[in-house]
Amino acid sequence: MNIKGFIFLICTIFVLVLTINYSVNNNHFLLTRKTNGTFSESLYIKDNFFATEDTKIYLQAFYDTQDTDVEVWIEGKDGFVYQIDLNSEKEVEKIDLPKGMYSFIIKGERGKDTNINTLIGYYTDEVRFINDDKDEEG
Amino acid sequence: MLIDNSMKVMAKVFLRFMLTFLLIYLAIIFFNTIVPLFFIGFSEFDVNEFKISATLYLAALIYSMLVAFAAKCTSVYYDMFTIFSITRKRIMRTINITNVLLTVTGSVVLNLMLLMHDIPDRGLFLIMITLSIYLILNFLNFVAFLGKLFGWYYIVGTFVLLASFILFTVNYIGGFIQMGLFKTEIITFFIVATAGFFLVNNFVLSKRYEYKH
Repeated sequence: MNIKGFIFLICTIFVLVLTINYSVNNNHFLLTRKTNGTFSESLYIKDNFFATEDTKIYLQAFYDTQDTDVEVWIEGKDGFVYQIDLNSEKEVEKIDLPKGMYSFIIKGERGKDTNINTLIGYYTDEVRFINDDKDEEG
Repeated sequence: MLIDNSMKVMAKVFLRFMLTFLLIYLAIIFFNTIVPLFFIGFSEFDVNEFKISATLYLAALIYSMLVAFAAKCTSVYYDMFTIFSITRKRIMRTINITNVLLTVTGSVVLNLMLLMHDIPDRGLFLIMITLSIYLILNFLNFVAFLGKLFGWYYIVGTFVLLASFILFTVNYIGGFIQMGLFKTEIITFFIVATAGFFLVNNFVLSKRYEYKH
């Protein structure tokens, strides 16, 4: 029997168990939150979230009609924190956020079946979304 | 000269592999896209859907073919080494040339298929496909050499370590797939890991290890 090989195998299994334990306890996973939809006339979506510690989130947003006015921004207690430049390119913005309460807001006007997509990437241990249902008008 | 007898052996082994996988590919395409048309009518044939299926199945087949081939060809290298007493230098040269040829061919075929689709960042696809194929080939050669030289415990152990590594880097993998993040980190890792396995494989073969199993 290959004793060295057997010991190596046991060690690797030990490493795997430690990794699983570490990942599960740490709960530091990158998840995404999507908003995909079409609107006519106007749209207002407010999605509240809480950063339990200093964190960074990744934001991607784009819409398909150029005649429509669409604004996407993140608002903190003291007003604007970050406003995203909307364009047809799907570029990802990396935003550093200090600990606190924030709202992710999408506001659209003069839409004609305008398609809007946003994607927020956040870490599960640092960001909690508060309301799962979105306030929508339009 | 690029084509010597050991290269000819590898080419023969690969052609057999490719033929089998090509037949499987054609059968999958036929049964998944053409056969349903007999039931729903040929007027329902959707060119775009056909293109997407053809590309996806081809990508899956190319990757699985190269994985299978990289695992299999190590035994062929060892047989050439031990039974036919071909020099280490020539075998190393054959392995390196085979890996480069397979990477270039696989990447070219897949990227040509992608030309049929309207996708952004073609350059990124080209780089990622090329690097991932080369990494897979070198990694599997490394694992197969480990198995040949030291026994199966090391193969299983390496895959267990790979699982731990994937778990550690799950945020990078997920971020890249879902949002296209961490491109630089992933490309750097691909280059460093490929170079690492390439050097280790050449080092292992240049040493006087005995063929045990």
